[in-house]
Amino acid sequence: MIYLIDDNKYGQMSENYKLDFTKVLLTYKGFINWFQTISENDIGHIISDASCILIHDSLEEKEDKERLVAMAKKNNIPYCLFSNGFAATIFDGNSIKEIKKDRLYNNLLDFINYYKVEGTIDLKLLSLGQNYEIERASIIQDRLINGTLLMNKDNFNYEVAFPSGSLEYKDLRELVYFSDPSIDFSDFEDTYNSKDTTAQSIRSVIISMVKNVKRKYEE
Amino acid sequence: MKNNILVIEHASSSISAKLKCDRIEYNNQSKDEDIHRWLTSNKEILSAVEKIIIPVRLGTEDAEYMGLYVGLHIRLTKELEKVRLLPILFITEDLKEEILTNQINNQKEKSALLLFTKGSYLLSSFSLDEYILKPLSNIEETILLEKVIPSLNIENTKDPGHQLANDWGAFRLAKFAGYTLKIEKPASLYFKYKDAFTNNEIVPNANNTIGLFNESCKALLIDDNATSGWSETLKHILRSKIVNPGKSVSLDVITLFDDALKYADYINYDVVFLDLRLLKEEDKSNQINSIDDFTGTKVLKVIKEINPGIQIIIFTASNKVWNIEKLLELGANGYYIKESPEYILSTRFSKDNYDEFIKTIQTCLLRKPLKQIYILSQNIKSIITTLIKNKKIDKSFGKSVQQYIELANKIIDAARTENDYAMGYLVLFKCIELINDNYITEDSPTNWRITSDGPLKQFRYNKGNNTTASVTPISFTNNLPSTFEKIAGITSQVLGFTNVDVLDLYHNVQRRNKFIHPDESGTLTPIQLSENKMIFTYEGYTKLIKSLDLIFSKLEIKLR
Repeated sequence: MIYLIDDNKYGQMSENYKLDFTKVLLTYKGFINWFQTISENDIGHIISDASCILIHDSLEEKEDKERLVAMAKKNNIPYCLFSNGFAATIFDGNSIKEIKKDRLYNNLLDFINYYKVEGTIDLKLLSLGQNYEIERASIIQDRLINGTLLMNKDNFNYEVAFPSGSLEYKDLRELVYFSDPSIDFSDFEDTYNSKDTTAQSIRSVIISMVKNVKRKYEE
Repeated sequence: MKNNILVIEHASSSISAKLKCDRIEYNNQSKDEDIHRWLTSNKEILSAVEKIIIPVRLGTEDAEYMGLYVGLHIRLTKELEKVRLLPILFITEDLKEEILTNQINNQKEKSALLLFTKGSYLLSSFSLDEYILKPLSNIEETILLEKVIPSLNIENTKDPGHQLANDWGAFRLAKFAGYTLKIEKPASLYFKYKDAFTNNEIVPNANNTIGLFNESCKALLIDDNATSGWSETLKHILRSKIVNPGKSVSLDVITLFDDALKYADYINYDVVFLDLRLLKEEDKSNQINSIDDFTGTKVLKVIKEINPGIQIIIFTASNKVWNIEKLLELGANGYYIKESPEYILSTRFSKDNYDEFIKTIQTCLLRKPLKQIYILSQNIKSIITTLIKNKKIDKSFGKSVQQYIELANKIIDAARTENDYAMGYLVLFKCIELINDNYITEDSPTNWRITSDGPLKQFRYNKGNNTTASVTPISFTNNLPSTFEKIAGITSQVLGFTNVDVLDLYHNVQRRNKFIHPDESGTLTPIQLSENKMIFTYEGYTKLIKSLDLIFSKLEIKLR
């Protein structure tokens, strides 16, 4: 069960996020449970039943909120704290410790629907939305180009730039997969792990792969 | 080290290391207040450079383009002064059109609009060398204010919006009162954005004037947001614009609706400033159907029930005329439209709004005597009701007096011109005539009696020493006692009025006579002239109602 703890009223949800919340709760009965407030007594029940807990960070019951988050962490239950006071999305392991409320509600239906169909929690859907591959590909693109490629721009060596097991290596592998799942990453490495590869040329490959991802969703 | 360039980057990023220049670390600051504090605390470092480099995706998992968001803060943070004008090189592989489209499609902040404005450059980190060498000039301040900022589109998505609007209103009022609030301006991007549009405003009221109200002033503010600048600003306005510096000013505060409903000391205040919305739930006005449902309206009714003379000025964020009219019908004595960042009208509107507010406070304080008028009226009416109930006075006489008092009070409460005050006085004066008619009878053409209390004595006014005294032998002009002679006889012979009390009655009668017959012969002493002029102010009305209160209080004792 996904637990949503938000003190806003139905009216505000409909008005601000174009969500007919009564309908959402009926459609996803058994998959999402909504609490407007929480008390100490609710915490035990929520923790014993939750697959994921979504909590409004500005909840008036501040102490109960903090206890619930602490219990979620202790029990390895993914949680997500949302507020319109947060401009950025900040992850904390397998949880989201800050996300803008508008963003959460924008992606909420995709997130619940995936949980209903697949039975698993995917916070990528909550943070990046249905087209999360595009968002993720763009994030990886900037991270690699502004990071390892820029650092190794003048004296590029594939194995220095993408050491096996590093974050850069994982990013590149993920991007290759998004771009074309049929490509075997070892084949990709065979092609580009050569002395002819430059930072500039691998940058062009990355940009081209991101374009592929975007094109895939346009189609 | 390249000292003229600064990189703002995530703690884990190494662009500055590659470029061999200084950096400011971004540590996942996500709240406006944190970003504001972080940037202003680095003002000195930022002020020393010529260019700023910021990755568009400042965070490591950044789908929100926090680099652009920080860029907006730089352009909109007044405290950063010249830093706001620096060229900013934003780094990404995305096109600005792509970023904007993404933001539009995903309901994100439209921070990408900044990329379309002067002074912002979007480039790949691989092109940085070229731009680092290129001379880039600062944008001019006028360009920032007139071109860059108006091209942006920053929406208010923060909750609760009510708080922000309240803060805005307080800062706006303070600005026009020429006062700098001690509390800090909100650091929200939206507030800064809206505030930037008021940068070039010339505020006509910013100079200090001296208050002319020559009495002490005890005011009360009822507002759940009283501490966010409102009480501070109101104190300043009362002290520096309304009340004479030699007189005392106090402003008490109630912040909770329940406390306001139960408060027992409203009568002690000369003016009450009352916010229309005292609960957070009222933020969404569409949940409230009628003006009667507002918490402020409920408190207004409670106060006016205690004493209609207590002056109440409503603070409302609504400019709906029909709501304001209804509040005035319910007894509010004025209103002030709290300005909101949602609708910035014009400097002219703000000035007029402020000027009207000052006039309203001044008018309310001048109406200070109304409170006592209502206290005395309520006392008289209550005595009469008891006397009628106990069959001590004639019912029709008692009811008539009550009705005239009520009518006169309505006129005096609404009085705006000299003639309005005089009209109220004349209607109230009818009560003296009713008393005379009720207690004086004519036994024969030369013999006037006070009902069951013997013959009517004669009182005269001595112009020389401004006194009254009974005279003998009795000789009424044309054998007809005047209004003063009748009321003086009744109050002196039956109710035990002192000569001073009777003197007040004389001036009360003369005031009315000289208004009705201004051309009557006879010279008037300065005292008489001064007393007669009071018919055109609350002072005359108050004197008359005090005399009536004394008459009925003494009558109640006599008939007990």
